[in-house]
Amino acid sequence: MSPSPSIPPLRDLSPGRLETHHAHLLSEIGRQSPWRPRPPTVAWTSLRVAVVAGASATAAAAITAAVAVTWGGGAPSRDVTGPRHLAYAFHVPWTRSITLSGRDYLPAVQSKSLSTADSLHPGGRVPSGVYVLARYQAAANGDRGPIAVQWVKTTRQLAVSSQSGDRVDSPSRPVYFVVLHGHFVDENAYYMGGAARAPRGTVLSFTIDRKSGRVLDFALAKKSPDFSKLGRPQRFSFGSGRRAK
Amino acid sequence: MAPSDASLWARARAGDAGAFGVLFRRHAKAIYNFLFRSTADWAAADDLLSIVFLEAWRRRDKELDEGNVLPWLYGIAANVLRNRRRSERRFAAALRRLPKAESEPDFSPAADEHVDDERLMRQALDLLHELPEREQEVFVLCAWMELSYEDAALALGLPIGTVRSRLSRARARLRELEPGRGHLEGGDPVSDQ
Repeated sequence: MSPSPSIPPLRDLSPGRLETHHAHLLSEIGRQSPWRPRPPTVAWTSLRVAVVAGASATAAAAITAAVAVTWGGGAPSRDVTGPRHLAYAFHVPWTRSITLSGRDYLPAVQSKSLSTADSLHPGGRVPSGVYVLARYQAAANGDRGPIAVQWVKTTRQLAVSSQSGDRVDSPSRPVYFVVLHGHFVDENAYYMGGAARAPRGTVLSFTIDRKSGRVLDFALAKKSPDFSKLGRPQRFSFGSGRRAK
Repeated sequence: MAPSDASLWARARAGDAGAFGVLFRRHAKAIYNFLFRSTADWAAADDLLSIVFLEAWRRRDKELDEGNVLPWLYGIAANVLRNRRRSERRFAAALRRLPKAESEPDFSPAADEHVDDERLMRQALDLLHELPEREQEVFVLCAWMELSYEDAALALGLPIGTVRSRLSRARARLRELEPGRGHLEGGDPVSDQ
């Protein structure tokens, strides 16, 4: 194919720029953690399927236990003490395990949360997706034990407006707006100029699309968002970290 | 003998930053020129070049066969350009309110060339921007960067037939827009098949 005569020819980078870019690239790569996990997307459809499957299996096991009690002529064994424990015993193979520094925490969280988007985490009145993604974001941004987590149901534009003046593409999309308080560093942020520090802040906020479970917006700041138009936020902590104030 | 793209990529996937650096040196020029031909701005192309390769590093869990590395990098560059356009639209109003910075004169020998390049490229892009964005991307990759249909399809994540049809529509519209010029016409991309 002949090159177009009226567009400029291919050119090399300006002298020294290739080396500068190369050094910058390697320096940025060196600053990043060895492996950055992708944010887990809680697949609500899969969750629903799993809920049905889990419930069916639980019911079957409970019936089996009841039959054993009824027909076995004695007390149930210690392994079969009730449906709740049976439900937790089922492994959930559809979740991708995420390892952070050798600690595999997602299966522990999600195997106990056989639930849909709006269902609650067993630890309290927190939607499962909010809990899982808050925990992920905290760990991925350098503070596994944030002081507290706040969340509220709202729309995307209201959530983003409470933190910045940005406009978003789908303003009325229903989201969970999640705010974590701690000490965060986004080591994987892209910014020009190798001398600059990684962005850091004490308030990490993000939105989760309530339909798809995807994280839509993310921000690190030093100031809490204005919740006045969002309603009263719910609050929880992960328990293993510092205590919620 | 220089290592292949695929072997370098395999090493990069295992965390070898040096191998990724070799890939960068090998393909920086192609990506840099693609970015320029999409923005008509050498400085922007220079800035975006780092972002493209950092994004490629971030997404290094992707498995790539031999011959697919460069098209995949083009695909990342196309995404970076789309994000940039979105950001530009979002902040254009704010930027317009800022006072214009005094431009520093550049007396380097390449400066004249660069100014001419940008003027020429802006003219070409002004015309290209009359097309839908999806056709622009296909046209830049196939006609200006001389990618094959297969590679352009890989870069943009499209079926080959879609690439062909979009390129055909783009050329037809450009002919309608500028019947006398015809300088945007490129030849047919080389098919791998």
